Amino acid sequence: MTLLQAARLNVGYPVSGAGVFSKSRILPIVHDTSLSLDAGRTLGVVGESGCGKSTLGRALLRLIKPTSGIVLWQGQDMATMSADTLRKRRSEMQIIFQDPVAALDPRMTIGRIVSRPLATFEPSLGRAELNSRAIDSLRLVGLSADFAQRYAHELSGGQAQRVGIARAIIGRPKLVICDEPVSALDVSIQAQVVNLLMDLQDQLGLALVFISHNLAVVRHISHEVMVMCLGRVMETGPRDDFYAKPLHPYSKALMSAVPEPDPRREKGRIGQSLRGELPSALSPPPGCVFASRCPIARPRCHTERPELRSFGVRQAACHFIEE
Amino acid sequence: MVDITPRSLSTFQLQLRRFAQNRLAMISVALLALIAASCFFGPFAFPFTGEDADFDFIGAPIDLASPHPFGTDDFGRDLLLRVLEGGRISLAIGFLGAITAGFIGVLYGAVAGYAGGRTDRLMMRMVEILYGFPYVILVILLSLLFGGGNVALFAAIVFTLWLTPAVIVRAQAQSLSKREFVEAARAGGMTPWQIVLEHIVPNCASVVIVYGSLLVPEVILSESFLSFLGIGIKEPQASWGNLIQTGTAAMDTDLRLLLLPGILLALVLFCLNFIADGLRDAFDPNDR
Repeated sequence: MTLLQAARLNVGYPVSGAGVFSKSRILPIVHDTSLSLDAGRTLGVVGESGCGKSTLGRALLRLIKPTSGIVLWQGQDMATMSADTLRKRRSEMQIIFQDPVAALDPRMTIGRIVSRPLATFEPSLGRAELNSRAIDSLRLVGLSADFAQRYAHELSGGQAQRVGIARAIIGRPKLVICDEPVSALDVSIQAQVVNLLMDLQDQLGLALVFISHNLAVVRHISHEVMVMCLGRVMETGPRDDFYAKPLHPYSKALMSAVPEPDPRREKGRIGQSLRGELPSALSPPPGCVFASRCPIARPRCHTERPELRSFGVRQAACHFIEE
Repeated sequence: MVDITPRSLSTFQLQLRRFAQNRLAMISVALLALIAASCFFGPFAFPFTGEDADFDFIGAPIDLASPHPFGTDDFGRDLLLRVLEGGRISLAIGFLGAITAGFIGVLYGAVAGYAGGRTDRLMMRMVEILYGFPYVILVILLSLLFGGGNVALFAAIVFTLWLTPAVIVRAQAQSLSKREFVEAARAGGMTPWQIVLEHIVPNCASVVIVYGSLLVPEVILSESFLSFLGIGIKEPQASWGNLIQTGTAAMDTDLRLLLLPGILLALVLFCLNFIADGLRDAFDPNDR
């Protein structure tokens, strides 16, 4: 069943004018992005920093209003939901954040932080019940009950991220957007958190949108992969196909930028790294957004923007993929 | 195994503990409490009130053996008692004024800062317009409106002093509203009002407490200032401001009338400033 669908989604941030009555302009971040996600599946979203991955994640939850395009949650257009309905349905879609400590209110106990969404979604619950549900949720992410009495400043990054996950899953959501959930953590903790997310996905049937710039982590957790560059989708496809042979030159470049553990092999690869300037989001080029750095770019790439085309189950946006 | 983990302390508890270690601030708290207690309860120990004239002792000097240990004023009213009663008014207006102004300012600033955009710009322009209002003229206008007296004075003080806390809290709220825990609260289905009251306002607490402690002496000072000018607390009711004013008039012949209320006011302001200093050291995260 399709849980979440987005069609030709455009998202931007208002850049406010100086005066009280001046009109604000919109700085576009995400362009014409479409995706769909089934229950219990994971979509990995990869791309460089600043490519609009996080903005896309927030727009999917309508934490930011998209400028145009549609997001369907279980077939229902989120734009047509009233503010009240939307708030109630937020129990079904949650988010975890990149900076795990900043995501916790420093003045609240962990127990209160974890149980707070439940107090909104199920207002009939009493204090004792909220507390016991919070402790259940903490146990589920591998933290003991005495964490409920603590404060965010007493936690390590990994523990704080577990608390963030406990808060996200307490209302038994169907979807969790993971916005770079492990990039602020030590490598050893990263694996624990990713494995925890995969376990929870199995236990609770969660669908995940896993936003990351780490290709190795995305490979581990995702079923589908989507590559973004400057707010546009460059390539989508099933994980195994994508990692076996990326289609788009941008995907290839990302892949080759992953550090090689073997220093002798690493040495020979340095020449492949990307050259050229990243175009500005304020004045995007008329052609392909990757053209200025693409090793196979031709004149056509600088003038005509490639549309996403299907290649079997996969899609890619490049004029010259057959070659 | 024995459980040796200490009880978890909230940020607020940690800050209070740091404050308690500041000796100067703690002495100030004790002294202020003593002065406040004697102003509020001291007058009950006298067999007469501050408005009763004692015609046997008009303009009496300091004489610890007489019924008026600090003497009387030109009308034969007991000076010590009037200073205590004046302190009651000054301290009450100071604390109530600061709390009211702080309360309005915090809510206003938190809403403006969290809402952002056009709402924020409109709300803050209004604050700027009010900032531009001449203070003394405003008090006179409000005196006319409320028929003078304590209410007009209180309204005027609150009306001008809530602006600065509003600006300070608005800046704080603006940066808080971009923090991830606020976004998590929105994803958790909280309404904007709930977010402002449960997340924004408590996280402004440090700033508010520090600024609020500076607000109290400011209010006391402006009460004294207005009463000194004759547009605040009116005779025969005493306040430190109008006592000092009477004292200044008699300064050449009898310094005593100026010194007693003056010294007390100065002492209270010193205490409040030391307390504010201690609170800032304990609460301001930048100094840690």
